[in-house]
Amino acid sequence: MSRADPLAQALASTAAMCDADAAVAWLAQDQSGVEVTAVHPPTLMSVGAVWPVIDASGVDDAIRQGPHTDPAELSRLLPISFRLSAPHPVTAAWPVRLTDDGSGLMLIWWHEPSADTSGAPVSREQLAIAAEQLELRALRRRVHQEAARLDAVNALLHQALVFTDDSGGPGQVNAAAARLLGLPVGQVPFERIGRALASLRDRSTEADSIAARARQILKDPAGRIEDWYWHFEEDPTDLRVSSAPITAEGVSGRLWVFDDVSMHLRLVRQAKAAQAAAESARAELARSEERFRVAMESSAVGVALARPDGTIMTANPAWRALLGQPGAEVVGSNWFDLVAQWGNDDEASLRNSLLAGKVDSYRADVVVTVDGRQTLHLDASVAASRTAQGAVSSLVIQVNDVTTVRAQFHEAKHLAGHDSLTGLPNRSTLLARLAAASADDGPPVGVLFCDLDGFKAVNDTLGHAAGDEVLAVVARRLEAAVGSAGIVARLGGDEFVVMCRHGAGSDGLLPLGERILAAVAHPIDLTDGAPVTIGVSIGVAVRTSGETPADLLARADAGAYAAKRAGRNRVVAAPPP
Amino acid sequence: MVFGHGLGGNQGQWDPIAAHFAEQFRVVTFDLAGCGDSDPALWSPVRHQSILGYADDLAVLCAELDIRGAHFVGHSMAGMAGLLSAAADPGLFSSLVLICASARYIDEPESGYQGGFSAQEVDSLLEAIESDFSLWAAGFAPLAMQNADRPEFATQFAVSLAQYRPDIGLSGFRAAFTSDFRSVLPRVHTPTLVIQTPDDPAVPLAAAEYLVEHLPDARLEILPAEGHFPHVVAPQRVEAAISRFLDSL
Repeated sequence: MSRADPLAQALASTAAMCDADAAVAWLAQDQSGVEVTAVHPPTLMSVGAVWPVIDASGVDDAIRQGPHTDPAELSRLLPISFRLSAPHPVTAAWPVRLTDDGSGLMLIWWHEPSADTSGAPVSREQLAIAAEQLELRALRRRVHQEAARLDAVNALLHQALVFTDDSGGPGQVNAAAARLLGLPVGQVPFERIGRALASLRDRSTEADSIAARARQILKDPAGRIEDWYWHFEEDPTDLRVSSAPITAEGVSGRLWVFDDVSMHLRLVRQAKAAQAAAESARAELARSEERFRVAMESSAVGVALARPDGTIMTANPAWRALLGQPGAEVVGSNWFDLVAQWGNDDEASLRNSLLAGKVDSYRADVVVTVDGRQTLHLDASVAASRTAQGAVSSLVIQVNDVTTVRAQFHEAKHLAGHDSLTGLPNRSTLLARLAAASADDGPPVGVLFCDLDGFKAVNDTLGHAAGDEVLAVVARRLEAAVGSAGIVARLGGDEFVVMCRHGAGSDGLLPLGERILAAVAHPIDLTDGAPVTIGVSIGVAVRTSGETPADLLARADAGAYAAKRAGRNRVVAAPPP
Repeated sequence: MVFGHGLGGNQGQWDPIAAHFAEQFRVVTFDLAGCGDSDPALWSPVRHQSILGYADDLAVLCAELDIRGAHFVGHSMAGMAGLLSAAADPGLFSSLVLICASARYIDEPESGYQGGFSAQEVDSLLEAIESDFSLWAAGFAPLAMQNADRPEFATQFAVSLAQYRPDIGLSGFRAAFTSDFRSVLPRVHTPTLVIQTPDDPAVPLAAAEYLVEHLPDARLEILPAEGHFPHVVAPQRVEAAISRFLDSL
């Protein structure tokens, strides 16, 4: 409000320019029109007359330009209704703005001389009184606007607001509180509000403790309540309740605020449950990871994680111990490069199948050289872990060192097919060789069945150890005698068989039999005791078409038997079947 | 020379007469707010609740067109608007021609004033307009135009009325039928010609005579034509009357 300047201006104007034929009106303007709030001299125009709005934007220019006498400008400035209600033709006019918001105007106008007007000049007091009336009016309008705005805000609030008057006068209830408490909106008698609040409190499950606190609070007029929570089973609803004393000019009371926080609390509870579940899952994951780490670290199996290109990202101690090379870091080395050193074609094709997505894992025997010298046989299994799109993201490689196992296996396999005393192939090996040789298209197979003569006597008189010594020497002598011409096998006891591929019938084998006779005939030195001399009876047979290995051996055995009966230490060709 | 059309009409009603005077004067015709081709935004339910609002429009129009001292010809309500403008600003018009205009439509038994309608008749008239504007307009057009032998005038007027927004029509008719500007008449010293038909359904001869009696400088010409729209049905006679009036000034 800056009415001092316009007022002074107006006074100066009326003093300097106005003669008896000037008048002044105080106007209030809003959207619907301009209302005359005061006028001087009072006989000129009736207070309360309403003029339709005229060009409102033009008023500001008119104010700046000072008193207007131009008829066209007067037409624009003054509504005809105003000019007709002014009893005399207007000769000049000047609007002055009194209020900043444009709602208050003072209009000074000059009219043609008339005997009707007393000519009394406008006094400062009259101007001031009229201006004050105008100011009061503007103030009242603002209060009404403010109240309307508050009402609108109140109607929109979700919070229920209740004002109770300390002096016991009617309280105020907003729309939300009216719904909550079953009260009318607006002014409500104190007792009714009290009953409604007590009823609400009694329905709350925390009524007892709350009631005690409420009594305490109400005893203390300055007491404040913040964040009580009342829970209602029947709905179910949670209310956050606050209450604080309010003291303002001429007002003393208490404001109660009820906030429905049911949704809020439900969300908080859900969030807490979700958080607990997440923590439990995290802890379980940590435990699982720890178990996995321990398993990895302590596993005898070498385990490594590699990129799809084979570059090793991490490896466990067993892997490092097995494949680690002095001066070279395991991490960053390449598994496929290592494997490729030895060809390992099987592994290469399996790997391609894995990378192409045809298989998820594979297992292969690979041979690698570590440190440039140590050759290892590895049982490797490689599994791919894939992205959701199916691309290989990493490889998990497990390697088991089977070098020793493999050697032992080969040894065991050898043992199974050979005689432990002499190291010669045993009966089953012999039969297998005979069967294999019988099946191919090579020269016919011939056998020399060698049955030692006099061995039983050595065994019985000199003991098993001596017998074993004899058998071992005989075995070496047979091998020497046969050389590359054939294979020597021990069937058991003192029976040996020489197998060879021969194309000249059984007679063609007789010279070999003679060589064997000669070789065996030499005295044999024993570790303990005097040398012994033994002989050998040999039956020779060459396989005929369709003859089984067993039949062949039986025929040669019969030859050896015939040699024994013929006086021992000789070679007899078995007759054909 | 400014021509203002009456309620229910539009500026086209002046075409024959305006064409005639255009040889002699700068001629201005216009549509009242809410009528004819005027911008609908110009019509305000507050400003135009009284003929004073239409008078304000006329004053602003003249100020904008830099018109002073013009001859004004107004039919019915526009005649009153011109009269009010002249009262507020005596220099605005050098002469006024009021065709079938009335300072008050309602009878005043205590003073003996004859406006042509009782208060009840005006009330029921406005009620009829409010309840169904188009139905009322269809009945009002031939009544106002008369000239039953030349129904095209009634048809034209009915078409013109039908183009009114019902709320604007109601507001305009209420402004006209409830007006009383008799107190303004003594203040208008502008030379004035009042043209009146003898059997106008809207304005009795007595109301026209009242105008002439109370305007300081006015004369009456009773035009031999039927209905409320002599300038539409008998433009040459109206033209001749205006010419005679202007020549006499």
